[in-house]
Amino acid sequence: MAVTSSGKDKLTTGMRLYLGGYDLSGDARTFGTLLNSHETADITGWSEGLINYLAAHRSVGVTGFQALMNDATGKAWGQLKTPGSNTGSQLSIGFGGGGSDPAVGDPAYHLPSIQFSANPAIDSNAVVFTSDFMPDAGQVDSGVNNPAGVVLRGPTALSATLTASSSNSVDNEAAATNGWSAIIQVLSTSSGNFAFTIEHSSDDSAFSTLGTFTTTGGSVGSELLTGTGTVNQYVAFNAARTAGTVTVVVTFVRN
Amino acid sequence: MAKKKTTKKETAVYKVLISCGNSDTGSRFVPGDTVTADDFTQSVIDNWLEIEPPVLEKVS
Repeated sequence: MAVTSSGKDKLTTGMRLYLGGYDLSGDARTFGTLLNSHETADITGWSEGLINYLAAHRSVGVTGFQALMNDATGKAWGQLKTPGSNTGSQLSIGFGGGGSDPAVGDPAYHLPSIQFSANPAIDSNAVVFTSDFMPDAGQVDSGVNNPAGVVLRGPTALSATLTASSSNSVDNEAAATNGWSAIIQVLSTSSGNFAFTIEHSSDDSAFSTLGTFTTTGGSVGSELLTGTGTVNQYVAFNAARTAGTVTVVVTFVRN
Repeated sequence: MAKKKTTKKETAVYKVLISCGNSDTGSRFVPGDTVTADDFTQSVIDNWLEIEPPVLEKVS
């Protein structure tokens, strides 16, 4: 993780947005909100002095994502011009520190998404369009709840086996028991053939498999992986190589 | 003179239910393999017996 003074180094130059295996960061201008809030349920009774609440349903999603109308292959316009067609896709945002690409341990926000809009407009003489992304009901299960987590793998090419270990793990300081979700974005591949797994550990050296992605890195795309139960204190990405080279980004969230 | 009776300590054996490994030693185990306290520390084994879903199952 890129760390500078107190970790207060998250700039837009280090932010990346990936959708369905495509890096749209170079076309990104801004966004409105990365939703992460609960509705409130007022449960104040007559005899109670304070108005008090419980947290009800959680709202997640990306609103007002503004991108340049880049119509080059694999860029924003081509990937986002047809709202609704991205059903079954996954969106990952990484917050790299100090202007660098997101790396292990950096903050992340992800969701299994549907894109709901692509509204063209003019912004400072540039043609842009604005999109909203909300959770895809077809993908949401009990493992999908919290959108805020960490990067387990940044966009660096993999041409050898990467073993989950203390050198690429993220320390959550304690285990958790409310399930988890992970998203892999396969950004590029050259005959890639890997077994991609999320692993966890209680001591940062003995790791067991938490989940295995279906993709083997043979094609550009993305995938959501979820699970219930215990996530130990340390989590790491593991990529067992059979052949080829891939560039993947992995984000992980504990609920 | 009576023969002194000795008791050999049994080593617990665990069946692997979920793939696991030790990044320090480079060892790797898949479901169906068996491991002992020689492969992982007892605290790791205890954790893997307790978590949901369990990683190991005690067989002897």
